Amino acid sequence: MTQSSFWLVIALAGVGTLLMRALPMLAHGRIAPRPALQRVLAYVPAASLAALVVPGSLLAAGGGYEMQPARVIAIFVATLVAVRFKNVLLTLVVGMSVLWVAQALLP
Amino acid sequence: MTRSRASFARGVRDMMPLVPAGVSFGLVVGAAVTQVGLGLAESVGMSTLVYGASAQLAATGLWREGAPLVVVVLTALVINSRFFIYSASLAPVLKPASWYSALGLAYFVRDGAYAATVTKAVPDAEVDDVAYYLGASTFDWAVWLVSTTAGALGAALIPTSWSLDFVVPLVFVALLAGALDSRLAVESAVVSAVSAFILIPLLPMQSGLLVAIVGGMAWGAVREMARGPEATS
Repeated sequence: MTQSSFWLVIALAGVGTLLMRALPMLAHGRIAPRPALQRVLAYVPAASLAALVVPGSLLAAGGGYEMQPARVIAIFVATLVAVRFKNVLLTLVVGMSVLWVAQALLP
Repeated sequence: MTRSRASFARGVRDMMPLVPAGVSFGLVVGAAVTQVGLGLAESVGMSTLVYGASAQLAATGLWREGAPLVVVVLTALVINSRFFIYSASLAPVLKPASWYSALGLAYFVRDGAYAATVTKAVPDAEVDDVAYYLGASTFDWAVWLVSTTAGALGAALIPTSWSLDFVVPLVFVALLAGALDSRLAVESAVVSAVSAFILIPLLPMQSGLLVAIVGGMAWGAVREMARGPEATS
């Protein structure tokens, strides 16, 4: 793909996102989203964040997808730390430290 | 006048605890854009127009892997679709008087400012909700623009041997922990992550991520429906 298609991504995703943000406000709350839609969208944060964790951790890119033990160990420890302490900086520090140690120790 | 000023300032103040997370995410997203060979213009353009951290990062990654336009855009839109319910629950609070104020208020809707307005400003009768929301959301926006720009400019300085690309899944895992607020949210996350692990290498055109996210959402919604509305939360 060329650079121009990235601007097309920005434009289309930008317009679509603005519409999703603006429609309820433009309607002054007169049209509430249907309960079914609201129910599905309530799971967007959990579902999207969980899926986005996978590339780069459990599936590391290296000419196809592969599992790298150091990354698997580090993301496992980081998940425990994140759930226990709910602290972004702490999760980053612990996760990177475990990764570096594991990369140094494992072949 | 003073009440709205004080509310605006309180909105800004209440966003302060979110700054470290916002800045680390912003640096990562800005760096990701220049690391795939794009420039500062693309970084700023995406941050202002798409304005959603996870969606921007996912779209940049998919674009790098050569995914078709429709897959990249759909994935970004599904991730950003949560703004629709945020906006719907903010509309009766902010009561925009004209279409342009509606558009202006809506543009700034994002997770942090939405949560702060609903949980801190609305229950407090002293607070001017609109001023509070404007303070929180424009501050959130400014932090995002500054940090993604800094990331885009600084990306070249980081040696690849540090494996700093691993910050990306770490930020997602950290934010995920905050989104796991119910049993069904946990189930939805597990289904989504397992599906992503299986489907990303399997499905054509880099559509695995999109399918996994939709699958996780559907799981949560269907299970909630089966349990009945009074069993939620």
